[in-house]
Amino acid sequence: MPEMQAYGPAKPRYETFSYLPPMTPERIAKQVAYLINQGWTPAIEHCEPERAQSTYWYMWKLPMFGVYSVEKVLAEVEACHRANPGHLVRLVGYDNFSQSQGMAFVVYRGGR
Amino acid sequence: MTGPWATETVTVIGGGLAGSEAAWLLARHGVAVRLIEMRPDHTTPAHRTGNLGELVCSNSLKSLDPDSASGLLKAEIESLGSLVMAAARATAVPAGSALAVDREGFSAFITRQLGALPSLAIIREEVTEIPAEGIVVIATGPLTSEALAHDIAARCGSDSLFFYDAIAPIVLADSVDFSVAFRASRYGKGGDDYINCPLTKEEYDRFYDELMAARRVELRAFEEPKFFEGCLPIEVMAERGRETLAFGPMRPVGLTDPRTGRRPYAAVQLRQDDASATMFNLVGFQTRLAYPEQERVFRLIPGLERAEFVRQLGSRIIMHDFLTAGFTANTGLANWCRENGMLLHIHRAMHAVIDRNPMHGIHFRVLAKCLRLSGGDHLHSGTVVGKLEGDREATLGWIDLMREPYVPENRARGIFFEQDWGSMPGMFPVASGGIHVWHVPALVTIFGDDSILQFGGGTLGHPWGNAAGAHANRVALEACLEARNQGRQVEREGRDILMEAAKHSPELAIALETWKEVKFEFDVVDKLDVQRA
Repeated sequence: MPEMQAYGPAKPRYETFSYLPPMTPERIAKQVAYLINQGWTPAIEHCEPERAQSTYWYMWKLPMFGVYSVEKVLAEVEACHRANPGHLVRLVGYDNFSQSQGMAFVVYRGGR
Repeated sequence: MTGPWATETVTVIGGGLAGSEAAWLLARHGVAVRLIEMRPDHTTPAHRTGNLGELVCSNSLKSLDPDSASGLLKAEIESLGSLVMAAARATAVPAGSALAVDREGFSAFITRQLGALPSLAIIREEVTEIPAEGIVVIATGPLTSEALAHDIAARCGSDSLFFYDAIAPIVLADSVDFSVAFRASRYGKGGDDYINCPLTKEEYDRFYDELMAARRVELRAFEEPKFFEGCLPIEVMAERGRETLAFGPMRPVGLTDPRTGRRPYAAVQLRQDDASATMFNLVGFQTRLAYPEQERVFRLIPGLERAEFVRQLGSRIIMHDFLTAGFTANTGLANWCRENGMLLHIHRAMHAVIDRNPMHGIHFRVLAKCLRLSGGDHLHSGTVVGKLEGDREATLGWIDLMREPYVPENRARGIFFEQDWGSMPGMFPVASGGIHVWHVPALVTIFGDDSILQFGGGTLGHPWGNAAGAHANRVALEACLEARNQGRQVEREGRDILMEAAKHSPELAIALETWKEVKFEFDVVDKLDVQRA
């Protein structure tokens, strides 16, 4: 019983990969590489933790159409994080064939 | 405009009808207003949106006739520039001489108008006590949150406040039997706006007896059964006498049953609930009967025997078994779901009777194609690895038939005919049946993206309970997805991936321990006979 976990507001989850421990830069880079290899368009969004349950987050600039460089994407994610300390920062891969998101996961989980 | 309008900011608490109207009036006269509404982050059991001026019960604002009190009041406030009246006029639905509205359009109108006012600040947070300073208008109504309600009660005396919640059922128009029900308004006032269900004395008595005997929802802690006489729950009204309803919401006055040419003994009226006239609500039938009881009792009303009650619980998805119910029923339901923005999850109960015998029957891949044509968003497809066996290659074949826009001939997967689906949407395959955390690497490999994995026993059977079970499944899935995206061979390295993830998740560690011996190794029943294919 004592080992049993309790769930509550201290452990909020934000969709994909939020059940794993925060990723190292190398692991994040591999996910970005997968996104680009699938032919998806990277885009970055961010949001205050209090508002994170809402549908629409703030767009960071525009989706990176035609960007195939992992380093460029990571640099923008980092820039968004520095410009918005404490915000959650999410990386999205748009799939123009299925007209939906191919993947989306929160990279920076927000300050607490 | 001159006059004793306030020069300080006014705070209005509660963004319902009254609060919206108050904020509108003040802001339009140049007063700085803060309108505070706790929704959508904090909500109530009756509300479904974060809109201002949301109608949670009836969509009728009652009579427009200026000879009635209600109609006169409306005329007065309309001449004073009422926002609620403007919204109601803009979103009115036919209701005889009453003003009824499409509830979504109505609250959207109010929300937009208030949002456009520069001197009005709309703040979405819960107020837990009456502010000590400034001019404050409290308009939180019967669904005030508990903290504020206590503060109000403390100041006003708690024996003056009662909160009691009862909502009238809503029915789909095309499920009403019009060989019995008829369209008309009382005394012919207005067009044939209402649907009327006539009852004979026998039918009325039977309905009354069932209503009196039906089970009601338990009162919540803060609810006391003291009623507002202007809006009694129907079962409470019935308690006052056998004939009360026949002189109340079920009165037949002004109506003639076209089948008999006479006034019925009693009648239930249905009022249009939305602009597209797909939904109608039962007039005056606010009730605290339990939902299954509502369906049972209200189906006794002639014309509503097979009515579907749209439960305003905000459910997003329904499940349907397309084989036991039939293709035609499924198609009708799929069309309804599309119109009503509901997801449709299809279960394949009875498929084994049809698709398991190699000598006769219909193969599952054909059933899957039928379902894609009929309509459905998810379809159970078998798990390959779980307790209900399925040949891997054949399953991959019909998963393609479910999802892909174009499927070429592939005999190794049992696809005998190429299939171009055009732009027809596909379905998510659902893997369900005896799967647990150890299966996840194989499932991710077989099903990939755009699939649904359902763990029933594999979630509920976790020693630490359902939440921990779901947590463990989720960690396993995410670990496998991360590995897949990194380019690892997930099925081959599955064990390592899971054990690594378990180091950071005690739930997963326990799950792996619990299910480590559970394997399903049967020979497949419906093998592809590739030689004779």
